[in-house]
Amino acid sequence: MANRAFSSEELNAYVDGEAGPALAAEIAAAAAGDSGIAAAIAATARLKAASRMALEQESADAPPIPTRLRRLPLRNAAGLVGALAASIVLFVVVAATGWHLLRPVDATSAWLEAGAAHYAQWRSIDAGPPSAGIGGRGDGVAQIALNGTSGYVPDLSDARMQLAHVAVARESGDNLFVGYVGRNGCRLGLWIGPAPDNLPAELVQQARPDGSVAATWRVGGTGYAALARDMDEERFRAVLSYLHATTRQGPGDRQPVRMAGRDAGAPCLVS
Amino acid sequence: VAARIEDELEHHRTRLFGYALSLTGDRDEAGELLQECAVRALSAPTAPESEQARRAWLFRILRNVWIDRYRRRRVVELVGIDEGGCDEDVLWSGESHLIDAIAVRQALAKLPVAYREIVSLVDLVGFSYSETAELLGVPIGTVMSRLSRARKALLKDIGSSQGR
Repeated sequence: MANRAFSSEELNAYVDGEAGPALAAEIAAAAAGDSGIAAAIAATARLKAASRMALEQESADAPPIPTRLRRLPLRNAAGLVGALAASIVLFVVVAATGWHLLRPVDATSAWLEAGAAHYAQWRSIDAGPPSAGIGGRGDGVAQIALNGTSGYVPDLSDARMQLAHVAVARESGDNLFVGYVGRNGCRLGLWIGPAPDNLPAELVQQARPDGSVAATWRVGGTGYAALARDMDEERFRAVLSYLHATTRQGPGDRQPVRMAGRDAGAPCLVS
Repeated sequence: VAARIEDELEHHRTRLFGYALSLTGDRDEAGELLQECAVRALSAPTAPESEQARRAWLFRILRNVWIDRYRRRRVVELVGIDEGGCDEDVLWSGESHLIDAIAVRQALAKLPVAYREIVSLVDLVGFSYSETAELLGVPIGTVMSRLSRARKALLKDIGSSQGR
């Protein structure tokens, strides 16, 4: 019989190799003469092994780390942090000075405002079932032609967003508004139309006064603007890089953009 | 640095996923946690130098991702776990062979998340008590008592299943 009772914490520490030398020796000596302590140690050790085995079995089919992420250069991090900082600064400046002082007056801003208005209108109504025939995991892109402008409507199903709304905006120069809905209900709008003259080819992201974020770019004569609200920032960025790539690439080898889409598979946030 | 993080992610992929599973109880969500953890790790400008510190760093990232997400959904279940609960000494009196992976798996599924988490960190990942305490931001004594309660609860559940 042992001279003293050991707490379960002490016996656990012994089994886990966390007991100090003195305590370990004391427990070992006690176990040699006390079948109760020996049984408790044996049960704990068996439980530890079984727990490990159970958890290993459950996690054996862990999903792979996406290939595109593996190639993500670290220098992106500085850019992302910079973009975030810039967004915060912009927000503070806007909040301090009033949005009217920064109100867009150029063609690009006016074009974006028209798209944002469509996005806001679409957000105000219930999203219905997918209304366009681009779904599943097919070619992943549809070509459109609007009054002399051609562009691409990307399939975001790889990023777990379904096409749910399409509207032609004749009043604002034959633009197309496309709405995607994530599985948790967040909405991403894509505004496609004739590019304003001063719209740059590279991605330009900005925070908007209504709390949404927008990003614009051009591909040839076609302008694109992506709009989102309540979407996880990293997810928006990933979807954005996918959109940017796919609209530039068009039909062809879809594999790289599919991978990018899968990387963006985090769920949306719903406020 | 990026190559080291990639290697580390791959090396700990299944354990990170297992830990994520213990937090969420859902394979899809666990996969998403793993993915976001990878994004954050690969986007980080720096990473700890030592292998051991990098391992702890990755698990901390994953845990932070989980907390961020669950805080948003207001369903974080991390408080009050160390008060009360299964405190009586449960000395195993059954057949040892009944403590197997299947029985433990079923019992683990019934544990509160904080208990599943501690079992996962110590038994699956192999963290020491001090590493676990640092990761969870609690004293080592809390790790010991939480682990003790978790194992008692597992044994109790397996023991009662034995009688059914």
